Amino acid sequence: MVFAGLLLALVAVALVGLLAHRPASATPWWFFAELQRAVVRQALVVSLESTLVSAIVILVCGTPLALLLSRRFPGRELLETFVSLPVVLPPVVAGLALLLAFGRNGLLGHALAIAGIHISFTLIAVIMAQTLVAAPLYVIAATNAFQRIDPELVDAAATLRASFTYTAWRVIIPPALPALGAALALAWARALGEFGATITFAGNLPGVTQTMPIAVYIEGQDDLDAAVAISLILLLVSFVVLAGARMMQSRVTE
Amino acid sequence: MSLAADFSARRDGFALNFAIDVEAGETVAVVGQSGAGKTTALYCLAGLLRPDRGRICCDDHTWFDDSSRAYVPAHRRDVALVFARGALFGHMSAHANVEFGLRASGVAPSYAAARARVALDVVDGAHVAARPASMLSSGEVQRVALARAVALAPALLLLDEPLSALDIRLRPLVRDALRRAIAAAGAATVLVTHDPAEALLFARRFVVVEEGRVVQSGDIAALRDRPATPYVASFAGTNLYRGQARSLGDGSSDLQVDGVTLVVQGEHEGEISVVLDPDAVTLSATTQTTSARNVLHGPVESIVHDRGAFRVTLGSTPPIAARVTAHSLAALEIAQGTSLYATFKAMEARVL
Repeated sequence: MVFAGLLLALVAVALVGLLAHRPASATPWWFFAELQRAVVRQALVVSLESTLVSAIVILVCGTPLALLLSRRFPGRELLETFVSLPVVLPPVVAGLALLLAFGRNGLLGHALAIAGIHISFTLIAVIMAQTLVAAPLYVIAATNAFQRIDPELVDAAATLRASFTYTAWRVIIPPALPALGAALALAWARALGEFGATITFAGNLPGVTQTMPIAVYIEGQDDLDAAVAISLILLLVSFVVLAGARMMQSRVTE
Repeated sequence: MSLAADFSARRDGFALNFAIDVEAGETVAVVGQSGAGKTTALYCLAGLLRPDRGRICCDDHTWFDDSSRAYVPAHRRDVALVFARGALFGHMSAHANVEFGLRASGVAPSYAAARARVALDVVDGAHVAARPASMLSSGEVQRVALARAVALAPALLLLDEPLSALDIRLRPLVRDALRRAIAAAGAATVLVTHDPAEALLFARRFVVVEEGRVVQSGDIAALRDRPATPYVASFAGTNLYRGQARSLGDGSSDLQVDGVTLVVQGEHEGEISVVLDPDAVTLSATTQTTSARNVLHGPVESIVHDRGAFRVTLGSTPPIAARVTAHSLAALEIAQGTSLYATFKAMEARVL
């Protein structure tokens, strides 16, 4: 029990540390004043834009992949392991891998550069880094949700003239919607918090690739108030997403 | 319009050899104990499982042929399958379930809705149309499942134990719906069941499956006349004994069955099979001295209706079924577990 208490204390004290921050200016509205600052606003916009696109990409590409993984076929386990790899891979390594593949002198990057396309250190790079790191969370949860659908229902749909695509739309996805929503929210939150892969592959260009977590890190060096203001937003978002996901999850288990 | 199939398949290490022919408008029952391969056969016919060898043809279409590598997947076959537990889509209304097959095949929504209503009427299900499928009782689920199949007007209707998941009380109601659904579909119909009464009610021809192969097919007279196995015999309501015969030299022979010696007419040597009509078996509460040379003893295991009388099966060694009138049933106070003697004359056992 003592050790459990220690762990709880660690979380609690860290949170209190963040919430108890008293800014240098000491006005009650310091939080909103910080939000007015260009560096904070830019980071907010970059993060919102990039994570919105990442979430859409994850939803549109991750759902068919999860449908595929929820079926039985030879090599399924291997593919699932491959897809889950970014979950345990250190994000910095993922970022480096992206850089080596799509960077200026990278494997594909070189060919892309000849075609006049530069990916590294752009918003696209931010989106790619976020998608790579966050997509597995969605795909794994969506696969689990699809696997809970009674296979007999999929068989029944097939004997009722339904192609697999039609079956997916009308039979497999609708009962899984709450679980998919929760999974997407978690993946989005993960993308929002992405730091290591983004800074490695996309760099730290304010207004272009500087996301909120990167701004926290950079601003934290000399302007703690801005860093704390952004952190509070991230904390609020994390809390809302977690609570929302839990509510949807409980609807799934009912 | 008809089905002609002859194939072998493999599922989870289980091997099946199966053959069936069904005319349009005809119902053929596939009977056998659970695990015999009935459902595997049905899945192959539906296109949910791909056989290894053989052919499956329906009307002019070849659905499977290993020699030409032809294979039509389930959703492109003109087939409908009714599952034992309905397999309704719980998040849709009953009506949406019935409509599903038509909508999936691209039929205009208004036409699909109209046909779904007609199909629901066939099974007396109009009053549950708007209800979510997850809120239906088991009897309603099975009726909606039947309507869902009927709405497609398939060339081949497959029924996988459609009444087995139901409470005994609900069966008569769903049985009537099943009868109307089969008539309305007018398809070549394959009914899979382990219940002889259900099979006899709906089908004239039977395919008996045991341990992954067809042991016999034909009408009830053929099965009763020359049952291929004891299971076929019990299904057809008769007795089959197989054993080593030894001539007694007096125009009769000993027959060793399950360690018990029976006496049959005629001089026989080696392995033989004999059929004994349950009508020729006499039941009594005590052992008596009669001219009958065969006496078996055991408790009553089952009592079922059989063509206007009752068929009583004793758990003797070997088991024996006797057909008796309601009057005898009452006079002997026959009930489950009653200890009885069964006697029959040697000349009543017919050697195959």
